[in-house]
Amino acid sequence: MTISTLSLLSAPRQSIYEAQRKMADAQVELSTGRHADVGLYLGGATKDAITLRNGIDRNQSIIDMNGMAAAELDLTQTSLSALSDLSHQFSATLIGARNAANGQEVVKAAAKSALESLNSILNTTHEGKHIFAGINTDVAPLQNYFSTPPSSGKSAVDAAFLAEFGTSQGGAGVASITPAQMDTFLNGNFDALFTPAAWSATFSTASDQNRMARLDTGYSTEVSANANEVAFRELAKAFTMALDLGSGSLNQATFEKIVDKAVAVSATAAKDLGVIEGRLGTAQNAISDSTRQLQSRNVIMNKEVVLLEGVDQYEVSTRVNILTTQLEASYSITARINKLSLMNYL
Amino acid sequence: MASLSTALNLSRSSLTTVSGRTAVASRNIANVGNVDYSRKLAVVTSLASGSIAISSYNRTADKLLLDKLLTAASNSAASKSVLNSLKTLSETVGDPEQASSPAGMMGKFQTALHTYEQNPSDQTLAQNAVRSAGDLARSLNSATAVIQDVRKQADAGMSESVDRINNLLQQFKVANDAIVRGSGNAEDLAENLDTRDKTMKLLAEEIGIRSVTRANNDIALFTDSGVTLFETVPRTVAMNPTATMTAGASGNAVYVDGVDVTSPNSSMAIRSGNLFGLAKIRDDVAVVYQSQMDEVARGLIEAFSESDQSALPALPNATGLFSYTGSPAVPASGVAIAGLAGEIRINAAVDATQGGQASRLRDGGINGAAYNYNASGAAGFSARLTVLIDSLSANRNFDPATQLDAQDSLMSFGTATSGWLEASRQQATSASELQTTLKSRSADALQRVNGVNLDDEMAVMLELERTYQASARLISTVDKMLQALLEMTG
Repeated sequence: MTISTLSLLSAPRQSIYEAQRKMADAQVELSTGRHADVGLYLGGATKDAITLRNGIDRNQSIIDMNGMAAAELDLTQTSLSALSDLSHQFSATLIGARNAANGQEVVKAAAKSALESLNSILNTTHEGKHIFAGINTDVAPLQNYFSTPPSSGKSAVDAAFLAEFGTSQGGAGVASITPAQMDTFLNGNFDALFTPAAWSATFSTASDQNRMARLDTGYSTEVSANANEVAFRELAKAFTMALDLGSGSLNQATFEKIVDKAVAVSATAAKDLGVIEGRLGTAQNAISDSTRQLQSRNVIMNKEVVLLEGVDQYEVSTRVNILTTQLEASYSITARINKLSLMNYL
Repeated sequence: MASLSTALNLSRSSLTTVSGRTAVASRNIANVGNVDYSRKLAVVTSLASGSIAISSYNRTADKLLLDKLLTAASNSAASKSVLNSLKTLSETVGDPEQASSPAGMMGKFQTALHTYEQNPSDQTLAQNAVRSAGDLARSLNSATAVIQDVRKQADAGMSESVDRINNLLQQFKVANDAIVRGSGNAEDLAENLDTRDKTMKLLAEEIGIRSVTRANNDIALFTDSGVTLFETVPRTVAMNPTATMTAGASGNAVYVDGVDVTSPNSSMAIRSGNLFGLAKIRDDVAVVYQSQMDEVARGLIEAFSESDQSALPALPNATGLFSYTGSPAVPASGVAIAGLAGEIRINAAVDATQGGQASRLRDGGINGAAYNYNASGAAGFSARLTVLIDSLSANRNFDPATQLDAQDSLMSFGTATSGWLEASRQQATSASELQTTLKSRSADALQRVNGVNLDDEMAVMLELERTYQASARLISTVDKMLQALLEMTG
């Protein structure tokens, strides 16, 4: 059987073309470390590569967001411990001033400063968000008690006082309020001003709903405290009663009643602050756990992506060597075949 | 005396034969680079008088090998045209690293939603989420455009292919007629056989064919599905091209001799050739891929639709962030709407560039106050966003016509579309490589039988040269002998 000259001459040409194409691919693979045509190499597994890359991006965004939530929580915790200190100092001042000569003035001043501190701490912002406002982050949760015209909180306290005792806090009748009357007021109509519903209506614009942070694709946790929680209401109640229920003009026995009540309420508040601190501490732990987990998951997922899309550099450079040899052989064979013609020997 | 003139005549016939054979050899040599040329052989016969003459010209050919080559050429052309279209379609997937596919865009959108969910009061993040939703919608729009363009090109390719087939059948008739009539001299006959084989090879690339040889070397052609293409006269191959291809509109079928040969449900559908490959893309692969894109679009519209938030809901669900021409009606679940991926848009009520508010993504209320999820208007409201994010990963129903899981999450379904296309391309690539190899093997096998070997022809030339020299010498010897005789008698 003869072979046609055409097939003889075109055979090495075909293999040269193939080798050159593979060589070009191999060079791309060497420079990028990935397959020249990832989609073609992976086929159906392209789905996995895209899913992995989407997952890595999503995890990274949760990690970034965790960092933000953690910063917010740190600030919240600092604020909470400041409030806790405030309540202890307030109690100490009250106990010291209970029987002192100018006790009523001292208590009033301490209460004023404490209420202002409470106000400013609960209105703390972080990156434009009021951190104690629940989800209502664009509005400061507490109005200034001392504002002019009088805040709704102040007006409500004044009205309740007037209705109970028939006189304003600075009025002449204040001195004649008995401890029993004051006790009734403190546990009755005054207390009613600080129930959740009344508090939200008069004192606070915060939302009861705490902000949530997504710690993983399907799992969220609360990462804020809001100004409507019992601890803050109690603090406000303690500070307000010491400040604005006639201190300065009360008789000693009634004044002592207020001081005792304020100290007791403040102590409860301190305990409730601890509960919030504990809750947020758990959230802080959960966030750092989540960040750690997501980071290690991303390390693994990145490795998987490399396994899917990447090439073995040693294998590629070996391939380039083989292709080079093959090409050289093809070239020299082509040259030799072209010389191999009877024509050259006749 | 008679014997000397006989010798002279014999030598003369030898010279004629040599020049005839030389002509054949030079023709062979001239066609050494022509793949469609079959090597010719002059058949030399001894006559009763003892002289020789060229009685006919043989043509080396192998019907079996040619048939094999025709089949391989059809399969190779079909797989090549499928692969070419799939390569264009895979632009919609791109490199996973670039995340330019609808699936990658969906991932980016999900990430943007996550970021916004954690900071619902941030307007910039809201706009960022809406922008990536827009990118996602546009990637579906452009995927639709690419798919329909591929279908359009396939349709135009089919029309061109039909024209070529008609043309080739005419050429085939000319060559076949000449062969059947046996007109012209022996050399012309061989040329016509070459032309007819070449026409068949070209035809086979367009459409799968079977040939049947009949009396007088007449050939009848049938498609690989059995429809007559040529029998004494060419049969009409017809197709109406479609000017603009839209999703959901099917292109026109190709009719051979009045029989539908491209519709998948036709009992006479062809199985190979360029025409088959193009029809497969236009009526099957691209249509399925389009339905996958449509289902991604429908899933998005469904996932982001709003429900009446009134205490006593009375209003129907309405399309939210993503809208389409049928908005505000939410499309029925699990049923693909052809071309939806080309229509999906960002609702203007959410798009700041169209006068909308990006925060409606957080609050709802795109279709009016009744649909507002954030009754208190809190800036940090994230519950709706949480529901939206979760709905991307929640299982929903998809049309089984997509050839993907009928129950899947939107995210997973989106990536599955990319996987499906790349798997198809991978399979088509290896099929095409295999078919191309088979074709070049078959072509090589045929070449070995009917190709020209230059060395062989040169050797023949040498032999002819010697024969010529010997015959010439004989003539001059006889001439000398006659001369001597004449001198003696003179």
